[in-house]
Amino acid sequence: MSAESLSILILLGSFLLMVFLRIPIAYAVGISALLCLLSMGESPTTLGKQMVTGISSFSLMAVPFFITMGVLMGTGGISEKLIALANALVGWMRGGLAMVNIVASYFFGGISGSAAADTASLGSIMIPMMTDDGYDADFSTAVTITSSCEGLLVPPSHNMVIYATTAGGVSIGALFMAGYLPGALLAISLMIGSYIISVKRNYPKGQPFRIKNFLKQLLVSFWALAAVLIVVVGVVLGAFTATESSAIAVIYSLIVSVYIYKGLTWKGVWESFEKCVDTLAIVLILIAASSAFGFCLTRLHVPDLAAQFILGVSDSRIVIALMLNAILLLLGCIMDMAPIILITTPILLPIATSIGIDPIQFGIMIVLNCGIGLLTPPVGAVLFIGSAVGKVPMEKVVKATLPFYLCMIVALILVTFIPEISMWLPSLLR
Amino acid sequence: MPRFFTIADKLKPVYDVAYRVIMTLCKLLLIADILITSWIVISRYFPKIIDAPIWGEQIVLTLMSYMAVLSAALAIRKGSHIRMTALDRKMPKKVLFSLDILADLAVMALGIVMLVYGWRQAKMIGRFGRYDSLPWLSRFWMYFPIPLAGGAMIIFELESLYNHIKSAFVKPDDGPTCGLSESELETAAVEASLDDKEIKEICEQADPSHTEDDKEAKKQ
Repeated sequence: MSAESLSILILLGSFLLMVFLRIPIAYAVGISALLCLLSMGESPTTLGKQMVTGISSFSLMAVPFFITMGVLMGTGGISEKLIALANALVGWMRGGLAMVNIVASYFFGGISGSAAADTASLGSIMIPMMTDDGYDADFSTAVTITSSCEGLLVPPSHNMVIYATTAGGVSIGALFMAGYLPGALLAISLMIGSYIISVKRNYPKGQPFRIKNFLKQLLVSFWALAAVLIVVVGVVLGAFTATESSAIAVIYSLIVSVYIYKGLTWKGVWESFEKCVDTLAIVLILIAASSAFGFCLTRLHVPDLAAQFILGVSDSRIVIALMLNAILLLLGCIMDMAPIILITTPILLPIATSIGIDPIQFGIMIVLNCGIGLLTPPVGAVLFIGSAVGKVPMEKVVKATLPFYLCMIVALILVTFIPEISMWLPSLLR
Repeated sequence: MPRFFTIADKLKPVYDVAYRVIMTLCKLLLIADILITSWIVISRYFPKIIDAPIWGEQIVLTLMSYMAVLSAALAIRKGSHIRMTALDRKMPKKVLFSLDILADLAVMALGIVMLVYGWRQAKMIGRFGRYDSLPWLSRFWMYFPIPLAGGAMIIFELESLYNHIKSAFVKPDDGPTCGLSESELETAAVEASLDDKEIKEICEQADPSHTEDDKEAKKQ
């Protein structure tokens, strides 16, 4: 065994071992990178140097700012307004509240960018509302958790910023635009699934559609939705970088939450920052440690070796694309989203580009795969939250989610094999 | 042994104060980052009203490094770092206990390496390098977050290790759990940005019997 192979074995083997030994993933990443550096004859100081380099990226600053914006808007009473808007738009359909849940997630996702926050915030309102209206609790929870994944695709999404920074050379603006149609496709796919189940179980319809009511709700929600406009339009038109627009959006969210919606007091704002710090505590150290891990991967030519291996299995574009999805789905079942993006992007992106998948499209694929992973046992943070918020045992939620997994897989396959779904909107900007 | 824990528990308020101080510092660092970045944007579009801070980008990044490492240490205390919890329900309690101790020791070992070698690195770079935009400021401060992280990790890991060992001797109050394991509950609480009180309320609504049983047990 060559020295390089041994180092690769130490890096990947020790990482997997430590993950299964329940060592926190951020630290497992750091320790395995340290062991690998030592095996390569590098000084342990390289670990610290790489960690500082990894986190010293101005683009990455958008991550804490987007998280802060989501928390401020989420705690500032935006959820009720977006639900009312969605209700005015799609509440008239059969299974109206399920449709409302799905559409509200599309709007809310644009603001929070987090499936977990979406489930906790919308779920605590929508699930009781649905069960009171005669929907089964497990169905209501399943709709809530699956639709929350739209938020990962609809911009601005901090996970997309993490991907763009890890991939290098990917335009955050283009990636933001690329997320809109796949997010809508996922929503439509879930709405079709919900409609079929609603007809079978005879779930009720809501109030008939009235344009006046819709316009009224749109006006109320305008201030919240404008935060998304500031970010997306600012970045796409090149007026701001993603980081700058996210900082401005935080200040805007603060003004909207405190002075316009009056959902937060200044004391509440100070407390909300604690929630932001709690979330950032997990994400930022992971980014720092993953930088050292990525340094080792590159030094050991792991991406090239992985590409050679996978391209050696088959030269069919379809088979390789399916393999990439399978790998990401499998990892999604056992790991959280940010570590998967940080660790697999340097390895899998070269393979994806070698079969003609654009890095932007691959970004959407990776986010959607990880989103599905958040809903699958054994490690499914959103599944746990849905179970707790919906007060339904996890096993029952998983059973009720089975038809929706199918809807999500259909959306994933379409996103994988029809590049235009992801690439059409960004292509308009070129 | 219980006597030892009674004495050692007297350190808990010190840790509580340290936690509150570091949390406040992290919040202030985040707010400073937001304000400086906004300042950069505003000064670009209104240069006549406000001067652009040439040091802005480098300082923002340095502040973020400090926030990242300090908040990560706080997450050790809260036990909120992402970890593989899939097999928790299936594992015997003794195995889980051993793995918790192993994880504490592994993180502490990493903390020691970061403290010792990070300090060397920061000192070496600080001797020669200065910030480009602030020539009077040593680059030592850019690399200092690494040994700082190491030190903070060791301090909070010591407490975590102590709590894990204590749990082997003193049975903790589990509280209502929504049928989820302890680590699943932690993941749910952190991912959804809910605090302990909120998650407890949700679980109490889901499982009121537990609360009643709990009260009954306490009465007895």
